[in-house]
Amino acid sequence: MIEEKNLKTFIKGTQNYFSSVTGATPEIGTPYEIDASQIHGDFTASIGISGSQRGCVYFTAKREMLEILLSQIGEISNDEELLSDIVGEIANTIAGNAREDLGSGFMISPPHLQNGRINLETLYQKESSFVIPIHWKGYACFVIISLDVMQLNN
Amino acid sequence: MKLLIVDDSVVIRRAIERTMKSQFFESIQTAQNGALALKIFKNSPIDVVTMDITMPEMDGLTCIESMIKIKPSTRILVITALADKGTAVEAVKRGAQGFLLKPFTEDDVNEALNDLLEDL
Repeated sequence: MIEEKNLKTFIKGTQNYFSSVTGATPEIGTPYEIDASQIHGDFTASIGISGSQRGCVYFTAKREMLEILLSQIGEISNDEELLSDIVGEIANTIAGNAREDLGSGFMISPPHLQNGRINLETLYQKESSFVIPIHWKGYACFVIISLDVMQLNN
Repeated sequence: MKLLIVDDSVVIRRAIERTMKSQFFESIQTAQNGALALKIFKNSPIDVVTMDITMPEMDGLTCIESMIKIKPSTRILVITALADKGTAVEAVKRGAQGFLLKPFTEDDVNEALNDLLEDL
């Protein structure tokens, strides 16, 4: 089971990403246990976690939101490659930033990218994954934390 | 001076390239992983490198070590999401001179590059 204090690490990273990159602070909803009916996204990325923890960190978002995000960072194109790539970069940044609290033993893989909504059947932990809902500029997107056990190691 | 941007994210490569076009580099090349970066490095007179850490095929730390062995005067700025102090210490040990944490703004990259190159 993921501890509340460890979920806060990922919430902090999510807030920091959107605030730093876009200047607009996102609204973070109360995390909840995974519920397929509430998660929607056109592009999804997963980061494999190994070392001190095992599992995956996912980020998924709708096309419209990603197009605005790309524009905000000065990107003039919004083709499929860039839309897919930016969800990977967001997932990578949130997972990588978590090492500030979780330590160097929290090893992350390069992003695995997929078009379409997250496939709940392939979630690392089907039973105890947690969703962090994010609202940014009127759009919803989601960070999903799917880990075996989380313990602080520093 | 010639710049090489290394990152597996095309969005990040393009963002850094846009920022650096207003700087004084004669040429800017990009690579999506450490192995490709090293190949370019061996065949081009690169002076400055921005380097991601977590990449497929060859990670940034391994790539930094190889580049410094080939050309010790290379200036390398690590740009990574890995926020632990251990990563920064290891990057410096391998030969990087600068460290910038993702997420970053255009100003952050400019400032980090200026710091990296101020004594040249």
